[in-house]
Amino acid sequence: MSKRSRKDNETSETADGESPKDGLPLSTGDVHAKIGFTGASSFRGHLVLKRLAELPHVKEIHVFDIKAPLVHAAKVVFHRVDLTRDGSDELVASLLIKNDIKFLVHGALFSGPGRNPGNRREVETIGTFHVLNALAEAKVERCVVLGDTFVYGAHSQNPNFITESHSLKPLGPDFVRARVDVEKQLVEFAKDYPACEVCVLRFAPILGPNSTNVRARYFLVGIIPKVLGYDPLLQFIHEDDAVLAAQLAVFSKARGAFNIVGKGVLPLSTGIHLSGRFPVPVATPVCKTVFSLGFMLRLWDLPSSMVPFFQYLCVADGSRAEKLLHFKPRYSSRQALKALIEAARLRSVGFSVPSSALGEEHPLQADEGFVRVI
Amino acid sequence: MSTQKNQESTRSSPSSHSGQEDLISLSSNVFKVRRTLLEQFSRIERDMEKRAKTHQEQFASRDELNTVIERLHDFRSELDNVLLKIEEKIQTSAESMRSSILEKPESSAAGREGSLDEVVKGLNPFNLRRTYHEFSLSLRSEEVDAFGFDPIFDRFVRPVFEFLYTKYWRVETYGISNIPRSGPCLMVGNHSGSLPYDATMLKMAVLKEHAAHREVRFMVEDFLFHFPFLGSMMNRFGGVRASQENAQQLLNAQMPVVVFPEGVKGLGKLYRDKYHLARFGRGGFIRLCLRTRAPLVPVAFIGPEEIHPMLARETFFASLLGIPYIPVTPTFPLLGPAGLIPLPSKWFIHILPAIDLTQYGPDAEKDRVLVYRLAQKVKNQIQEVIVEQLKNRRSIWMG
Repeated sequence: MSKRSRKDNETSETADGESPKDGLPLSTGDVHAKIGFTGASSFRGHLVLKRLAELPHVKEIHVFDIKAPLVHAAKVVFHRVDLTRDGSDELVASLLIKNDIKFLVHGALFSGPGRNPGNRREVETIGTFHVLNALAEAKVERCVVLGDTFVYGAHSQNPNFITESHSLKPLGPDFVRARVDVEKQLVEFAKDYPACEVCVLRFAPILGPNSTNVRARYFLVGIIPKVLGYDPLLQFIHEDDAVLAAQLAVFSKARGAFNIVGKGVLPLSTGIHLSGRFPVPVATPVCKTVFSLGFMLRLWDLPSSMVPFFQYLCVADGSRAEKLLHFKPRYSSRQALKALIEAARLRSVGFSVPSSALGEEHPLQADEGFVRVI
Repeated sequence: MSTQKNQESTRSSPSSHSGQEDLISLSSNVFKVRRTLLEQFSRIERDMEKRAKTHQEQFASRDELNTVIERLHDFRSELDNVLLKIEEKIQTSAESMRSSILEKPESSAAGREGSLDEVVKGLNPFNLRRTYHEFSLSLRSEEVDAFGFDPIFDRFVRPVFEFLYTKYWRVETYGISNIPRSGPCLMVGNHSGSLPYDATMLKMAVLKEHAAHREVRFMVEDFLFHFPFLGSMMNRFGGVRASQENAQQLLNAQMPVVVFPEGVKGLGKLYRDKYHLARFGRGGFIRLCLRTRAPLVPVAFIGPEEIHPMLARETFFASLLGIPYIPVTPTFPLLGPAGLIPLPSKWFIHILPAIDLTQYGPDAEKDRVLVYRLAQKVKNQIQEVIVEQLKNRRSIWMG
């Protein structure tokens, strides 16, 4: 490996001496007693919020969003804030100062392209701008951002495993460019305000029994479009692993970007065969047209900008998170996909699939005052 | 010879005992014998080559040496056949044992009915999708390795390459023992033949003839790797897109890697330029070796230049298709797809002694002059071997 990774090793030994070892947050300062949270209504944000609300040393979670979160817990305090509005930074900053919040989880980012690209772009770039302004004003000490690996983009020149130091290119589809803009803002902020620890988590597509994002819906629709003759390697992460990684990042002191990915890779065609749906291969010249036609007719939720992700590699290397965050995924990419498909099959015959038993892998002591809030 | 005695003992044992433990020990014995034989032969081969290089006067002629080597090869194949027969015997006896254990009176009739049922089910149009998915999944492993290598798919396509290796191109490999038994290793070769057949043949050579039967990964040019079907297929049996980062990741994973520094220039060589090595990049492979401390093994291929004798490169329609060129060979556009069948030239693969670059310090990779000099040295070494071998080649097709 290059010199950079060796340096990382050294810093991990010096700075991360008291970090959690077996996935349990051992020591928590006062920083984590009150937590700010944006984007709690997304699938990922919902899971992370639920997990944080279960922890005994977290006393209050202040959610800044336009919609109340689905987590009904006494700890969760909801503030209605529209992050795209002018002046929302002042509002968030005043709330942060008033409640003496020193830690914030920024999760108001989308998991993929949607049907309202204008709104998505606004929420991601302008929302992050406002949130960073509020962080600077309220002198927040630590911020964890929940990002995605698609920020690297699917280019033909991508290496087999993309490390965090890979330069981000503002190329490709709209949703990738917006996210690259967000990451640039974060890098600038981290440089200008060294007092605030900024930690960016880049998740691989999250699949699991309950996930509903674009990648999950891709494997569940009746007709699966694919590009004729291309069979890239895909990488997923199970929802339980994603929540565990977020929790580890929240309670560590690590800075910088981390790829949060599952074990192993699997080819796209194998995924389609596992799902048992009807694949429709489309030749490259008419690919974009067919994809956008299906998108318009609501056959599938993939706009034509997703096409390169079905041609080229976008696989990230998770060794940095393993070293510094001590995060080890328990599920492989294939297991994550299988969990999704099996849960969908059970639902289709009328079984309800309960949410995974979060927090039961590491049972907390009764004398810590652990109460199941939900 | 001690090995023959071993064989005798292995041959006599299945008749005297018929227990399962005996079978296991016997099969492990056979495996051991095979392994020791292979080791011995590679040692002898190395020895002969060394002798041929240093004191060539001891032999009357090069042909004599070649006949000795051929005899050794024959002897080896004979031994292999004998051992294979023993293995087959073991397998059949094991199967008969299994069947005797599982035998039940009503199993035959029920099995036939069941299979008929299966056929009817499979042909039912409502089950077609299911059978399609099940069939496709049976040809692949559910999880590939980190770089896309699929062991089950590899086993499925291996007979084709075995045929090409032994029957069609009659590949002769020399100096296979120069490839280390474990750890990373960077093999650098001359590229030719429109498609990376040379890489697959080297892969087969290492798999068949090397003492450790190692799995080799080879680097594939961008335009081939992103070509529909071709790229993903090559990825499943060990191809990786050619780039510095990928090669480094593979070497860090302790794998033997084949690179072709000539790249597209080597693949798209015209027939009149055959065996004249193109520019060896900018010495990226030397930098890679200096960084990862992997030994560098130069490889010279004789023969792949003639499988697709390229008369011209067509670029106008190629640019419409998004590829660098369309080859024009005596057969290709003329005979349609049948023109894509490669010609049966005789192949030789010469694997040269490994070059150890660990003597240079850690900052050597930044030394532009040194890197380029070393790259030139490797290129000249390969070129010299090719010239030397072409001197002795009498026929393109017969060797």
